[in-house]
Amino acid sequence: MKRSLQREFYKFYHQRVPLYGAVILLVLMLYTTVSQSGISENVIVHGFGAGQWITIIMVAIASSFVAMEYQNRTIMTLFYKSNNQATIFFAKFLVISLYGGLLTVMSLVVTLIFKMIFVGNHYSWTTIYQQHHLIVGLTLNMVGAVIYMLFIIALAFLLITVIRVNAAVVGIGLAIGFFGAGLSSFMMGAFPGLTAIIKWNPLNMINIIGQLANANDSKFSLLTDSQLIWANLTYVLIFLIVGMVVFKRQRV
Amino acid sequence: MLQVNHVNTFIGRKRIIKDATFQADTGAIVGLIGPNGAGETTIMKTILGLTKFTGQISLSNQDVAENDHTALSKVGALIEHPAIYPFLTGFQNLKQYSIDETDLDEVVSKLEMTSYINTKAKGYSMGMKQKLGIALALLNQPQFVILDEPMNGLDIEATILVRKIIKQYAAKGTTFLISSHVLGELQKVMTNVLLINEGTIIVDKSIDDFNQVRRSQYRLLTANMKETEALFNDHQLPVNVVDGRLLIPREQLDTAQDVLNDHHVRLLELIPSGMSFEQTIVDLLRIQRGDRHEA
Repeated sequence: MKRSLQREFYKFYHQRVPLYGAVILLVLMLYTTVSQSGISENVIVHGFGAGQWITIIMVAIASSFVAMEYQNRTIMTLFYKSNNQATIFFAKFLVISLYGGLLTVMSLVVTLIFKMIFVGNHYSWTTIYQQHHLIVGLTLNMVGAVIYMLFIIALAFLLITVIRVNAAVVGIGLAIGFFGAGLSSFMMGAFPGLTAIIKWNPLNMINIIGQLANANDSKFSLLTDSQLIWANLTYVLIFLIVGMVVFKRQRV
Repeated sequence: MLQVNHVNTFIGRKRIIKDATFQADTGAIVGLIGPNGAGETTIMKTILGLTKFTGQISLSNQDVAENDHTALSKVGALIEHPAIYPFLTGFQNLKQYSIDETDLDEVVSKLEMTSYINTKAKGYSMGMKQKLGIALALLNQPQFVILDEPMNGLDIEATILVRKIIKQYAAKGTTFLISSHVLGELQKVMTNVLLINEGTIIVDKSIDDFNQVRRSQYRLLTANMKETEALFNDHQLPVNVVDGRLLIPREQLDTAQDVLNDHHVRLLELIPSGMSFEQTIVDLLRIQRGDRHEA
């Protein structure tokens, strides 16, 4: 496991992708400041859209980090040099998750800077917004973003292992990022009798990005905060286990 | 070194390798030969524990299993295409798997890659990539090396260099399993021939034994060919003249020489004769296909 982790860190560190990911996040957060008519408390508490942007960026990065092994035909060397293929899969997941964590921390710092530059003291960090101080709301949203990030990385890993087409996985990830919550709400509205089951669908999990800071959002997800957290983590576990099994059994 | 016993490899439900049994001794260079789709790459992948199989594969008396690659810790391989990360330099590609930087430098130097080893692999030519793939296989003083079409994309000088390096490693005890469709190249290095067709191993011989089979006749020229023919007739030796030379079966060579010696006929030329290596392979494949169709 240690050797697999070292190799994966080495490869990730020597790519330009981590740098591109950080720059793209910065640009997208900047875009959020100008795309709205004025910067509201809602924009600040959501870290200038960081949760959603990180989700999209992480789908692309996670998927390509696995896909490159098939494209460069390095998967065979990785497999025969390793005693347990699952460790390769898990090492990759750890590396990408750590990077996602770093992006989240970066987005938190950028939010503080952007607020200082674009808003100044117009809103205080101790202002009550929704049910929390602005800074607490931002932190809770970032926690939600990290949990959902794990969900989306595990899903991207599973999909790329099964489909092996990077563009398709990125497309699915973007669709989930932009339309997932809406589609989930639509399904629950369309089949009210099945809500008790449908509310656990994977598309509903994206609501964790906003709900931890705003309890009112539970009317969209129909799940409590703790249910949403555990459901997300359960999906992470399921995607990882299924992904690992597929990864191990595939023909290279 | 390598023992393969009654190995069957399955892809889905289809049996690709059929009851393969062979071995490779320490320092041997085994040439794996077969037509396209015969199963060379599959058998190599099976040895690397990358496919489902039945039977037994062991390296230095340690079993290889699909889920246990401990026996492969001193194994290097180049299968199908060089496994290279284009965003890393050649050196970084090697460093990932290297456990001894001195050995890494030595491999780079031997393969004459020093001038470009620190540039990104995405800019490498096909031959440079192929050399890097071979370097990856030769890292960490391997006991066993698998090379699938190692001469692909290499120019003449690089081909000669790689051939020389393979012989050097083999002399130090590294065992090689090499597949190539360029039989002339393989012929120059291999010590054993493994011929495979449709997943079945049809020839497993040392190169000397193989050559003895294919060189089943000798071309003979003496100072007095008329007298030689007469003597051979008298001694019931076959008289078969081609291009002014007599063709003698290998098993009757000693008798023929004794007869000539007894009658003081001077021998001017005695050259092994038979089918070329390529012809022999093609003939063996044809015979095997014929046998199978008849069966």
